Amino acid sequence: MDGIEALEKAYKKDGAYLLSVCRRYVRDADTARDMFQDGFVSAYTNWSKFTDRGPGSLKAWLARIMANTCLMYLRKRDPVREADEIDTVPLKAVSDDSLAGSIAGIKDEDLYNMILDLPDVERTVLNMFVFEGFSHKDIAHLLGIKESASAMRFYRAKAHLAEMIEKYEKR
Amino acid sequence: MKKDWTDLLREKLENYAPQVPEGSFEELKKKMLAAGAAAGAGAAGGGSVPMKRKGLRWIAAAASLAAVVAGGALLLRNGGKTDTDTAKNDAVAVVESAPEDKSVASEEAVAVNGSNLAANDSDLSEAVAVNGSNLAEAVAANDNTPANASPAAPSKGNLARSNKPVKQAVSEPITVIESKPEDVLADAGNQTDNIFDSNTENTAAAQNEPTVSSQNSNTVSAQPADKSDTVRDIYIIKDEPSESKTEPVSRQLKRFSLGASGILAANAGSNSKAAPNQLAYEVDKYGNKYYSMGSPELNYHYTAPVSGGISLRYHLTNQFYAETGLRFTYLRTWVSPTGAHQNLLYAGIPVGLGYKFLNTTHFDLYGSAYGMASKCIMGRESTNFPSNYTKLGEIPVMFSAGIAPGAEYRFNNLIGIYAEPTLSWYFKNDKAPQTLYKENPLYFTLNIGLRFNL
Repeated sequence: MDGIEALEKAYKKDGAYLLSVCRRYVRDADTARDMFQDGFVSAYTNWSKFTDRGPGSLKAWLARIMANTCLMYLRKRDPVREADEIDTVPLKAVSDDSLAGSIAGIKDEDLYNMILDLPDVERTVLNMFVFEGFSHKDIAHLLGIKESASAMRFYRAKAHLAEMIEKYEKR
Repeated sequence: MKKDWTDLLREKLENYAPQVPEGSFEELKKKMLAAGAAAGAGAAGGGSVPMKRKGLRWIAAAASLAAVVAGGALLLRNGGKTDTDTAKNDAVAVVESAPEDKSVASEEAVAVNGSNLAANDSDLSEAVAVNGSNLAEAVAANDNTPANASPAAPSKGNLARSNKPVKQAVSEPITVIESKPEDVLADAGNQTDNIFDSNTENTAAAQNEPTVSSQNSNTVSAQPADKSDTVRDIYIIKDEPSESKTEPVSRQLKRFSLGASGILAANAGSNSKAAPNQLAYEVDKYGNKYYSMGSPELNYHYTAPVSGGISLRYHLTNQFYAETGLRFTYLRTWVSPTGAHQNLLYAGIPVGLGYKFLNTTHFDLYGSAYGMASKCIMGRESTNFPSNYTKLGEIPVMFSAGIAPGAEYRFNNLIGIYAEPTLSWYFKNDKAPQTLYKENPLYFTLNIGLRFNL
C-alpha cells in the first residue's frame, strides 16, 4: 500500500486516538494539533522505516511518532526546570490500593482531564511509564534526567492525581 | 487479584479519544508532500510496504489435501467390504439325502441364512439358480423316480428345496448366476410346483429380504455332516471372507456418525505478558535524544480461543474412517500500546482420516490425522474510546494440521460422548493478523462432544 494512502486511512480511522496521544503530552489543544500534524509529516518522511506487522502496527507506529514529536517539543521548553519548581511542594503519601479503587469509579472524561491538569513533566513521565511502558531508566535517558528524578516525578504525578481525585469525590 | 492503579489507568484511557482532528487530510497531505520532497524521494512514503512471498503454504496445503484424498481413495478401493456385507453374504446350503438311497436320492437344497434362519436372497438365488439350471433334468429325474423321492424334510424355516441327484450335485461345480432373486424366483415359480416343496410363507419371506447380489465365485465343499441317523451332505456356499455374523447390534457398522463438539480446555499457548518496550532512541544533529522512528514492537495479549462445531464421520471400513465437518473458532487479541482489540471468527473445514484401535460394544479408542483450512468470516478491530470498530480486510486462509487420539463411550446405539486431545500445528502466514496460533503454532486442545450414529 502506498504511504500516503495508508496514512490517509490511518488519519480517518485513528486520527482521534493519535490526537489524544498528543493531548496527553501537550496540554494546550492548539499545540497538540500542531504536534499531531508534525507527527504525520514525520511519519511520511520516515515511511521507509515502517514495517507492516499486521493490523494495528501502523497505529502503534504513528502513536510512537506522535509521542516522540511531543517529547521533542517539551524538551525544547526545558521541562526539567519547571519540574524543579514543582518538586518543592509537599504532597501526601497515597496507597496504591485506594488510588486503584478511586480510579475505577471515575468517568473516563474526568480522569483524562485530571491528567491534562498535571504539570507537564509529571504528565510526561506518567505517560511514558503508564501508556508507553518505559522504565524509569529509559525515561531518564530520553528526558535527559536522572533515573531517581524520573521516579520522583512519577511519584509526584501519582500524588497529584490522588489529590485531584479526592477533590473530585468530595464534589 | 487487584489490579495495579497504573493498569487501570491504562485500560481506561489508552484509547480515550474525545477530540476529532480538525481539517481535512488534503491540507495535511500538502505539508507531507512538501516535507517528503525536501527529504528526498527515497525516504518519503511513496513506496509500498514490502509484501512477503506467498506460495509455499499453498503448496504445503495442496500436498496435505492430496495425501488425504489419495489415502481415502486407497482405503475405499481396498477395504470396501464391511461386516454388513459379509454377514449378509454368509450362508449355508444344506443338502440332505435319504440314507438308503444316496445314488438316486432326491436332494433338498436348503438355503439358510447364518444369522437368523431367514433365507438370504443371494444364496437363495444361487440355490434356485443351481436348481434352475438343472431344472429340466431335475424334473425329469424326479419324474423318473417318484418312488425314490424322499418326502420333504421338516422345513425348520428353510426356504427352498429341489430335487437333484446328490452325486450330480457333488460332482458338478455350482455355477453362480448373478441375477436378482426375484427374477430367478419368478422363473422358477413358473415351473416350481413339483420342484419347490415350500410353503408360500417362506417364499414370500424370501422375496421380502433385501437383495444382496453375490459377486464372488462360490465354492462348494461336500462334507458329510451327520452320518449317524441320516446322511446329510452339507454344502457350504459362502462368499469370502467369512467374518463374525453375530455382532451385537450396537457394534454393527453404521456408515455415518455426526459429532458436535466444543473445546473445553485450551491452554498450551498461554496468554503473553506484555513486555516492556525495548528502548530504541536516536540522537539528532543537535545531540537531542528521541525515539527511534523504527516500527515499535507490539505486545499482544491473547484470550483462550473458543471453538466448536460439527463433524461428519464416514466409515470406510470397520476400522478406518474419513472425517470432515465445520468448525468455528473465535480468536481475540488485545494489542498494546494501541489498545485495540482484534476479534477474529474463523470457519474451518477439516478433512481427516482415522483408525479405530479398539472397537467394543460401548467403547472405542481411535486416532486420526487431519488437515484444516479456515476462512476468516468476521475480522474486526475495535476500540473502546471512541467506541467503534473497523473491519479487517484480506485476512488469508489459515491452514492447520493435527493429530487427535480419541475415546468414545456409546450410551446406546445412537448416541455417545467422546473426548479428543488434539495437537495441532498452525502454519504461519506473515500476512495474517497476530493471533495466539501465530505466536504458538503448536497448540493443544481438548475436544469434547456428542456423537450421533446415523
